[in-house]
Amino acid sequence: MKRVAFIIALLCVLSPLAAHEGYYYTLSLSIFPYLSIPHYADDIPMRTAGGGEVSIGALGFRTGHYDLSLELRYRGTTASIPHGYYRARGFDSLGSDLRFAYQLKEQFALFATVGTEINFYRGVDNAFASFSTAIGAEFLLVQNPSHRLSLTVPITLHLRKEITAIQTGVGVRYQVFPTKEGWE
Amino acid sequence: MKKPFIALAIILLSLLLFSCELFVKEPQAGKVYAILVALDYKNSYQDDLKGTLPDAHEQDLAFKAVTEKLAKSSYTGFKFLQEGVDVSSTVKHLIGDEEINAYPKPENIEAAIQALSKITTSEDLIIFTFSGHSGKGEIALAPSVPDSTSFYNISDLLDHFSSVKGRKLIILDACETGYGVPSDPASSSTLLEKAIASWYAKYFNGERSEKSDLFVLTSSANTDSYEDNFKGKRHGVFTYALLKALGWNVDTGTMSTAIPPAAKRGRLTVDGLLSYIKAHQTLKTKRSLFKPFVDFQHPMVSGGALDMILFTF
Repeated sequence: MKRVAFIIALLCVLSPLAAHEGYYYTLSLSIFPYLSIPHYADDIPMRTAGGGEVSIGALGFRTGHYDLSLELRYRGTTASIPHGYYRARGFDSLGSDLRFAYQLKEQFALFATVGTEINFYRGVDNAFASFSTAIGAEFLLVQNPSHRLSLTVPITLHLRKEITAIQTGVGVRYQVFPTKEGWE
Repeated sequence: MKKPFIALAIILLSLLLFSCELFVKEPQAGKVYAILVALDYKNSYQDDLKGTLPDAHEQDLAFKAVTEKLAKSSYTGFKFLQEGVDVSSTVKHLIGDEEINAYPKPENIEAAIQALSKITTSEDLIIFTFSGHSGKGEIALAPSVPDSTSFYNISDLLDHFSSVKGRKLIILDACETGYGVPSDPASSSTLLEKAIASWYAKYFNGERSEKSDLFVLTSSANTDSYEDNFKGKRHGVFTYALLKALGWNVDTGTMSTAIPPAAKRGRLTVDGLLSYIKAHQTLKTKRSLFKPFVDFQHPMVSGGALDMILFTF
């Protein structure tokens, strides 16, 4: 696992050296309610928390209608609203996503991601591995040949062993195209 | 641009409406029962401990104060103490209809748990504390014959609690008690299982998770646990911090605060206790580069997706 993380980090650092038309860096931010549906019997069908996510990508490529990137992600999820004798623990996640987007119109694109992450429950020295997948829509807000700013509306499934969680929120995605040619 | 925002607003609103916590009635808190076990080991070959009996006495007072004065509920504590060279006790507890001898040998502890199982309800909170010696997942209970000892597996202790209705909090202040914390099917202790590969292996191992009503809070993971003098009073380092977390003033023997300092937003949880203890215990939780030879102990708690609420104020 450490080897995989090392290779991803190395790719992110070295890939700008081979930058050419369509290559980009990206920074994405989003906030979301986090609804966890347990696979075990609980007092309530789901527990509600909130969270935020930051992704950075140094390995993105855009050509024509297609857009592909590899991103590193931090996700912070709060403890749930207490109910009864329990509440779900909050946690911090570090992971990586592969993101694919297809532009349907000039201002509208659909995207999908798959990824995996390790998660650390806050304060209790406990961790778990999980997987995530998302689909969503991307609405172009502003652009020029070297910058794009989009509004994103992702719906994410966080696939934990004992819980499936739904995240749906809103975010922004900023792309920088470092080469002279930009993305056009 | 209006349509996407309307769609987004509808999605967010509908998801918020699913927030079950707002619509499902919460259960009421029940009574609190505590079994407090402490040994000084003067009748066994184990090293004597001076802070264990004060630990049990003050935990009893602190939990009683938190329950009765702050949470406005009913508290009953049963102390099982081994003190001095005798291998018996004249003290007896009436638990339900059963009279149990208070000498902390395995048979009496098991009988006390069995008796509790007949009187508790699912709304109750049951606290078990142990202050003494332990190692590798076994606690040292009182011997039946002088100069011996009775090792008792922590997993056997937890098994006995499975028949007791209610939330159970097992507090162990002794060496290497982290080995007694049950392994969670979905998450791993970063103190005992450090390899990320093992976390992924757990994801795929097929073991099913269940909501546990039993939490274990220990003074250390896989290292020794210490006691110390606090203004002339001897206590376990962990228990002293636990008493402070409950708002108990060891110096004056009174509750020092309106709400326990470990509570957040009017709720005292197991994780809240752990966080407070880690931040306030007098020993470090790990060695540092600059102090590589200091004593340290790292408290530990049961893993899993949920935190258990002990008291609501």
